[in-house]
Amino acid sequence: MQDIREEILLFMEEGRQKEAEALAAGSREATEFFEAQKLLNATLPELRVPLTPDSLLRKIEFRLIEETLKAEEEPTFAEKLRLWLRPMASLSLPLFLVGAGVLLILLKSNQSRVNYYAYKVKSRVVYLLDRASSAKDILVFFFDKNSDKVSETIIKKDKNVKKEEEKRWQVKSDKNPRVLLCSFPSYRA
Amino acid sequence: MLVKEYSHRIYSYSLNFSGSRQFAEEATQEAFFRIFKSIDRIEANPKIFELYLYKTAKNICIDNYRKHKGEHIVEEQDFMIPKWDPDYATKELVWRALNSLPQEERNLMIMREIEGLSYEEIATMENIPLGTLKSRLNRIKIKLAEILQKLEKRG
Repeated sequence: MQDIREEILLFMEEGRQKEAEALAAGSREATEFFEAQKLLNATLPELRVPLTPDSLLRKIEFRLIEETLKAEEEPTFAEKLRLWLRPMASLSLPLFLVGAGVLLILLKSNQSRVNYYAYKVKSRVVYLLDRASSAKDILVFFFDKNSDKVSETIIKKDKNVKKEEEKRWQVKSDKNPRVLLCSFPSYRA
Repeated sequence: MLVKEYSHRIYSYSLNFSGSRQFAEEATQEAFFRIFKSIDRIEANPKIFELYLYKTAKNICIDNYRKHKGEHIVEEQDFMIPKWDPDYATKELVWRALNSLPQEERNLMIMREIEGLSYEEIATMENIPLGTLKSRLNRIKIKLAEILQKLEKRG
């Protein structure tokens, strides 16, 4: 019986339905097996869930955006310094001092800040992360408080962001901004 | 966007695997989160990305399963098969048969028969030889058909 079942399965997988049927017709048990297998083949693919709930999609997107922001955050000046100084601990004092001096100059000149900006646009709240000062196009996520929906658009930084607004709405990066906006490398000039 | 593209498959897989909507949602979220964290290490190939997602979701589902001391949590299946579906009775029966399989066997059946992954893809993911996988799946199919026959007889 086991052999017949395996042969029936093989025929079915190869799409040779008639041969499978003919083989199954030999015994009642094999016929029942064939029918059950036919039912499984027809029904199992139907059990695939066609859509993800919207709420789940939103949760995933929010979480990923939050993570993007965290990943974009750069270490503070003090953290950078500590990181750079660690391997220098084994150096002699004069070398250490010279190295530290050079590093300080380098770090100071290259220091870039992560800034989060929040803007109120009509009824919507927009959060914007502007990391690269050279960025022209910025991907912005709009969070609509009323409908709880997130939409995205690309804005031209120069046209939409004014310096005085930036200062007014700046949120300190260590305050864990409530999220929603980030610029991606592909959108950078 | 990747989330829109793949989330329904991962959600479907996790839901069928765990039998719990809550677990499935957690697993789908967590799978994307973990992928996001290691995105640099994943080959930029859609098929590999998809398999990696499935594998991650499976690991999360198994972790969840273990956390609940092997207890097999199956909620009402109405959320998967709406009552107005003309094939509700049949689908519900097949779903019950599927859920009576042990976790590892159910996982293989879901990947092959519900998610439609190829033998090669499953063998890669599960790290088992192709021949072994095929014969294992054959045995599981026979077992599943037997369970279904029994359930049908019981009515």
